[in-house]
Amino acid sequence: MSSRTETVKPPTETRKSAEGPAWKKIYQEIPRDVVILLCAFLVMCAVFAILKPQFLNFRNILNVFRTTAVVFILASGQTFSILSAGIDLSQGAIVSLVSVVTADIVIKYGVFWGIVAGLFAGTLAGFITGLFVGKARIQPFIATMGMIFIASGGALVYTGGIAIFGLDRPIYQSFFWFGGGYIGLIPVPVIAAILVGIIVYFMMYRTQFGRHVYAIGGNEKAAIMSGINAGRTKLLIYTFSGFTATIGGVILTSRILSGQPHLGGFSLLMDSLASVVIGGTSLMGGEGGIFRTLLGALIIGFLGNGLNLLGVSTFVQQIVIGLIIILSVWLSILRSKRA
Amino acid sequence: MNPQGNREMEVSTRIQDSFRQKLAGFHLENLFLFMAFLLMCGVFTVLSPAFLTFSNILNVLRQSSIVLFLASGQTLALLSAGIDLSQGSIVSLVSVITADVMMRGYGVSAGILAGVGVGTLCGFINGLWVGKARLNPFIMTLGMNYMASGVALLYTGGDSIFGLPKESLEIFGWIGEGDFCGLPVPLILGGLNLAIMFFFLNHTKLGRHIYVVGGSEEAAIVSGINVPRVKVAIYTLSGLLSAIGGVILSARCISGQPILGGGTLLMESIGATVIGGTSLFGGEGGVLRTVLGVLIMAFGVNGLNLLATSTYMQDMIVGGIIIFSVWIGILRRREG
Repeated sequence: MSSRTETVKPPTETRKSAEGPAWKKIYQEIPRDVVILLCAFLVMCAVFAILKPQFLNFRNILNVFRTTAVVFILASGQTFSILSAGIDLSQGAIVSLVSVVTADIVIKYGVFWGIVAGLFAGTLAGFITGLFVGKARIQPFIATMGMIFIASGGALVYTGGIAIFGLDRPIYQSFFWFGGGYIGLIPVPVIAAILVGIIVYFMMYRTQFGRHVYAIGGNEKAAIMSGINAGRTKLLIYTFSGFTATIGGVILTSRILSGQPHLGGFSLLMDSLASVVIGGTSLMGGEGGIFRTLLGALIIGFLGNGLNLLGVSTFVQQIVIGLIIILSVWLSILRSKRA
Repeated sequence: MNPQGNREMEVSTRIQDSFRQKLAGFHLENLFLFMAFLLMCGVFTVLSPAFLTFSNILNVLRQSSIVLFLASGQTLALLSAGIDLSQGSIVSLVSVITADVMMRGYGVSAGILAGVGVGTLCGFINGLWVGKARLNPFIMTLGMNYMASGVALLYTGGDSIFGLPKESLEIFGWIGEGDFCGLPVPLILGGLNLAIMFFFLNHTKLGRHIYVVGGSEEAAIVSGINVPRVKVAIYTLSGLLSAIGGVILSARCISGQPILGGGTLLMESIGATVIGGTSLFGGEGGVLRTVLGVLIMAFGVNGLNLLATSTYMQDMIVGGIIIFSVWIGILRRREG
C-alpha cells in the first residue's frame, strides 16, 4: 500500500512544481465549483454592465458594497453555525433588538454607551442561544427559532412597538459615521466587513476553534470521541453569530438613524442564509468556508442591484433569488455525483 | 435446564419490555403534555372567567384549524427528517389564485380547485427536487418560499383582491365563518383532516414508510422502500394541506391576499409540531402530538389575550415554550 502511494504521489507533485508558477498552484487548490461560481458572477456583472452602463459607475459599486457589507457580516457568523451542521435563524431578530437598544441608550446616555449596550444585548442573545444549543443540546433550528420569538418580542416590548426617532440631531453626528461615514474613499461598513472577514478567516483557518467547527460539522460523534468539547465550541459559535448580527444591527441603525423594532425582518435573515448557501457551504456541515460566503453575498448584492437598475420588479427578483438558491445547490449535487 | 422454556420466557419478557417501552414512550409523553395543557387551561379559567365559555372555545378551535392543516403537513415533513419552509408562501399563492378565479366568475368550486391544485403543484415540485434530485429539503423549500411568494405578488401586482362576486361570497364565506350542525365548518374540516391523517400515518403502507425513512434513510433503502417516491408523496401532501389551510384562511378574510402567509404562519406550523414532540431528526412523533401542540399554542395565545397581555409579550412566551418543550423532551430522553 505504501508503494502505491509512493508511485502515485510523486508524479503529481513534479507536475505541479514543474509547471511552477505560484498562481497556478493556488488555482489548482481552488475547488472547481468556486471557479464556476466566480465565472457566473463575472458573466452576470458583464451582462448588467452591457445592458446598463450605470452598473459600473463607481458610486453604484460603492453603494452595493455598502449594503452588501451588512449582509456579509451577518453571513460570516452564519457560516460558522452552518459549518457545524447547525443554523442560526435568530440573526434578524437580534438585529431588531440591537437597533432599539442602541437607539434608546444613545439618546439617553450618549453614543459610546449606546453602542456598548447594543453590542452587549445582541451578544447576550447569541450567548443564550449558544447555551441552549451547546449545553442543553437543543437542536439549533429549534433554539434559534425560539430566539426569534424572544428577541423580536423583546424588541417590540422594549419600545412598545413603535420606532425610536431623534437620532438625526447634530449631537449624535458621530453615530452616523458607523453606517454612513467614509475612511478615505471607502465607506465605514465596508471597512467593518473587511475587518470581520479577516477575523473570521483567522478564526476559521488558523485557530483550534475553527478546526473544531469543521470537525463537529463533519462528524459530531467522532469529534467528541477525539476529545473536542462540542458544547463549548457550539456556545462560541452561536455567541459569535449573535455578535456579527449585532455589528450588522449597529451599522444598519446608524445608517437609518432610528431604532426600528422591525429592522431585521425575515428578508435580512434570508439574505444571510442565502449568501452562505449560494456560496456552496453545505447545510450538512463540515464543508465550505468564508470565501464562498463572500462570493455568495456579492452575488446576491449585485444581482439585486442589477435587476433594480433594469427596472425588474422586486416580486420577480424574489423568484430569481429562489431559483438561484435551488440551482446553485442542485449543480453542486450533480457535480459531486459525477465525481 | 429447560432451554425451550427459557427462550419462551425471554421472548415473552422481551415482548413485555417492548410493550412497556411503547407505553412509556407513547403514553407518558403524550400524557405529560396533555397534563400541561389542562393545567394551563385551568390557570386561565381561574384568572379569566371568559376563557371557559362555549363561544370562546369554539372561536379558538375555528382559528386553530388553519394551523392544524399546515402543521399536519409539517408533521409529515419533520417525520421524514425533512422540513417544509414553503408553506407560508403556498398559502399566499393559493389565496390570490382562489380569489382571482372566483372574481372571473367561475364560481366557488372552480376557485377552490384551482387554488388547491396550484398549492399541490408547488408541493409536488418540492417533492420532485427533494426526492428525485436529492436536494436538501431546507434549501428546496426555502427556494420555493421565495418563488411562490414572488409569484403571488406578481400575480396581483402586489395588491389584495377584494369584493368577491356575490354568488360566490355566500358559500365561500360559509367555509370560513359558517356553522354546520352547530359546529364551525373549519373545525369540522380540521377534525376530518385529523382522522384521515391518523389513519394514513398509522394504518397505511406509505404512512409507515414515512416513519422508516425518517428513522434511518439507509435502512429504508436497504429494506426496499422507494425513498424518492415517499418523499414526493410527503411534500405533495404538505403542499395540499397548506393549500387547504390557505383556502380556509382566505375564506375567513373573504379576499385574496398576496402576503396572507407571510407572517408567523410558517413559524406557528413548525412551532406547533415541535411543541407536540415530533422530532426534527425524524422518525418520532405523530399527528396526535401535533394536535396537542396546536391546541397548546392556540389556547395559550387566547388565554394571554384574555389576560390583556401585549402581543409582543406573547411572542416572547411562545418562543420560550418552544424551547422549553423541546428541552424537556431531551432531558427525559437522556434520563430514560
